[in-house]
Amino acid sequence: MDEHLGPLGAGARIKEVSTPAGTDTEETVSEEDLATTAGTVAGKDASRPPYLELRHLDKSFGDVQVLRDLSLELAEGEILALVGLSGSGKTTALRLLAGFERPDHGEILVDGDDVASLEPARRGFGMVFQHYALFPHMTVFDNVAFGLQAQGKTSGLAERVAAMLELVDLEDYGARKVSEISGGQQQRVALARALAPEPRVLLLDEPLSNLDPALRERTRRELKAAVRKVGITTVLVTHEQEEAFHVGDRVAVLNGGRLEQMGTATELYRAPVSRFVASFIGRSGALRGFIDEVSTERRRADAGHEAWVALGQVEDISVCWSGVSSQPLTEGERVELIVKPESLRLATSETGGALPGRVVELRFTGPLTYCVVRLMGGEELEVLVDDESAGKRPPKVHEEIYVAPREGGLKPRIFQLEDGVSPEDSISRGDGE
Amino acid sequence: MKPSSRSRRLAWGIALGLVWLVTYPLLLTLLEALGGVGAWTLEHFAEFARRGDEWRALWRSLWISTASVVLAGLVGVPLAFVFERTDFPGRRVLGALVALPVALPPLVGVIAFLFLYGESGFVSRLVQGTLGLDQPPWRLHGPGAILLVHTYSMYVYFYLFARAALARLDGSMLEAAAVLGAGRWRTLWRVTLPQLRPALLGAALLTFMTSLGSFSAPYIFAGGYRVMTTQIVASRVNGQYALAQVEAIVLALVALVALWLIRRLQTDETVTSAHGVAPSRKPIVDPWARWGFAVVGWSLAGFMLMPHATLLLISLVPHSTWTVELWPPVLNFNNYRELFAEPERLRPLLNSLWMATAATAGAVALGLVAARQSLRQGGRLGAALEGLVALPWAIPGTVFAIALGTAFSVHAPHLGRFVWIGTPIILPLAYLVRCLPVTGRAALAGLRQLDPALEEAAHSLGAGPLRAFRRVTLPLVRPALVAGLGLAFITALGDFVTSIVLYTYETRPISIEIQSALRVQEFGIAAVYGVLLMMLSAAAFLVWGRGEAGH
Repeated sequence: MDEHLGPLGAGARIKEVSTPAGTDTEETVSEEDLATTAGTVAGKDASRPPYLELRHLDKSFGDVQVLRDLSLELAEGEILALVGLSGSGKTTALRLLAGFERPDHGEILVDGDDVASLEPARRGFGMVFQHYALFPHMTVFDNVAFGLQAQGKTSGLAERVAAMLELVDLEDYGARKVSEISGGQQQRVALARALAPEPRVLLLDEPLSNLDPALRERTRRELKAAVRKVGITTVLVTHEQEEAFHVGDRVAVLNGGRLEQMGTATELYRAPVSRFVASFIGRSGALRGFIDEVSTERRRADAGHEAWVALGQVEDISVCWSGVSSQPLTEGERVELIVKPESLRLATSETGGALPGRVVELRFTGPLTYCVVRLMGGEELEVLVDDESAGKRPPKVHEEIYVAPREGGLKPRIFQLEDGVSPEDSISRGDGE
Repeated sequence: MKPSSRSRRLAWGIALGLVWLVTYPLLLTLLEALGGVGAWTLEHFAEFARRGDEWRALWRSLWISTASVVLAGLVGVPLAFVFERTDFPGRRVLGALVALPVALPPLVGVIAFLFLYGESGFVSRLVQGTLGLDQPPWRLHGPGAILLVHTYSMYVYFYLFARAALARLDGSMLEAAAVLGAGRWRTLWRVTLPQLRPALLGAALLTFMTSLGSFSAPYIFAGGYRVMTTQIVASRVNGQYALAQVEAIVLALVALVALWLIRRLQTDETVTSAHGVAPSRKPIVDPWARWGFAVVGWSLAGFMLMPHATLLLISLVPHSTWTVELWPPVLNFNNYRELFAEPERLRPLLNSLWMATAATAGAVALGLVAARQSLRQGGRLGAALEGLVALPWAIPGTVFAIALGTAFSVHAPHLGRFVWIGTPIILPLAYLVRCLPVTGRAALAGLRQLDPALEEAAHSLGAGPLRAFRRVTLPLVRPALVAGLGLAFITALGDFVTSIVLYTYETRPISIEIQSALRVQEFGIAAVYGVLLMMLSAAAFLVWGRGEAGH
């Protein structure tokens, strides 16, 4: 039959295929594995003592609870990116850190001192505001000097300001009015102004969101370089995943005022602990089914719990895809499978657990093309199209096609469906950035 | 930032101070009109209701205010269309000149009209001389005279409001109407005017409230033809204090009801589109029409400027040198010399200057802190602060003068009452209350458009509240404050309505001196004071204009 289909993907099967027998693999799950998985949740970095700690922060505005029991730890010099949808509480968390809001409960510790009750002016935190908040009636120099003057420093003031302007590559701009410089330059002045008084912690509130996309990436690199050079402990709030992954040493995902997961970019991508994180990070689609069989084999220490998920029937044959969960699973349980476009491929026949559907849209983004396939059950999946996946010819809209897991691709993540709770509140990242 | 308990206490302190200054005197006036604690009686109100002249005065106040709105609108709105929607030679200069009456203090405008169109006025003489009449051709008296002056000084509200709204109009909306087949009139009625509605209602409100509180015109032109404001002052001068208080309460209630009614007509819908581009002006191309517009425009500007010019001319006419001639035979600076040579003549000028300065400074400071706390606290306390600052605007000046006179004529420090009447405190205080809405509104506008992140940035850079305020907030709201300051200064400097109730000989301001000069027929001296008031107001107006522009 179809030559270009290639071998059956290892991540899918049909019911008749005998299940891999694994009986003696129980001992491969060690204490260490569990610790690693748990560690990803708590975000602890045991190697260095925490410099900035947020402990059990709660914050409500009126009846709306914006932050729930938020705890984070940063080592000295570490850059943490806070990401989440709007309303997730990330900006509130930053404003609590800056002191513009007071937490209802909880502590904020810097080097062991609780600063939660200090006025913003006495915290020694630097902040870059989303719209920069440069003082429009002052020159670039006066803006950068403002914090030093507030500290009462007069000796060496000019030198310090000059050094800061040099750091952001604006040595010759001191005499300019802030209205006379470009958006990118304003962003850099804002950074220089925040760093000039040698703050203990740097807070960045969507610092790049006001720049046009062409400038954003370059400014992001410069921002990271400058912050690295100073070596300051930094919290970055952003809704741009790419920005968070690039700038942050670690990334914390907030959802509904709660910390969903904190870890390195790779950890979040490869081993999301919640359905929200799995669908929030990168592009993804969701399929529902039930656990057909729990695999007892764990090939890697951090691989989690593997299982076969039955997704539906194709011509009386039940199709199962393999997936991974960070939670132990039981057979027959209703679950959802979160799959990334890059771990799917297109096929032209149902062979080997492929799901039938129809191409509804082709999204050409330049370097990559995504094919949106509507499955029989109505779910839509995005599939990354490449030569191997598409076969010899590219798919066409309205064409009938099959979707299968890509061999060697990242395993789909399995999440339990709680009874009565619809996971439809998750987000769709169809128009990925 | 969440308001700390300290800033909350400060806000409550300011609110209490404002209550003491703004609402407490009104409340005391009401209590005393009801006989006062322990002697409750409705007798004074009953007397008010029994007297026909009271009802007549109330009716006159209402119909004159309504007619003023209609007349001012009929003059101001077409002018706004002409200057905003067409283009002809001299449009820019004329457009600015047409707004001139707003810079003339009411009393100065009134005496300028008197000198111009009064029985022995310039124009009357001219007509009388040309036609060889025995009598002056008309008498500038009664409601007609009041309405003339009101129209002259208040059409500017309609003109400025309508012009601003026309400039904000989305031109594509007019194009849309045209594409949909609407003709010029249909577009005007169905598209343009509905969009001007908020501006026109705003101007109507301003005109109505100003007319209701107008005192100078009825006082000078219509001695016996009393409206509420002149009736109140007459009662007080006659020693009928309780009756004056009842009248003041009634007028205040009428003003508040009118305010409420007109506000109800104002809908909250935003009718201007954010991305609108103002429709292009229609250049007048036909040469005859161009000349027609220019001639009409310049004549109009001449008419607008005549009162100012007349005032200047009269100020140069020495005492009793101009009798029956058409043009004054002698013109020199004697009146000015006399004014600056005699300390007693100079005193009203100095009085007005220091009292207006003190009142303006106080009103700016109080307006700023109240506005700041209002925005910071938000909620009910914030709304209450804003309301307290704005309230004096809705209450006619005469009423406030009576209220302050009532509150501060008793020594009872534990009740917050002091004998300030007859001291130099009372007039600046009255001016301050009258200016508060202007300065408070300006401060609110300035603070509202200030990005809160700027102050936060200052705090995060280690600046305490005072430093952040001095280095960041104040410099940025300064243009708005200066705008409020200029307008407040003009109001205080030219004030007549509160002064006439509360002045003493020692603290008499320019307006009172103008009035007494008129009484003894020293027209030259009255004109000199008028010119000085006009010049000072124009200077403040320039400052205001610059502030507005920078703002």
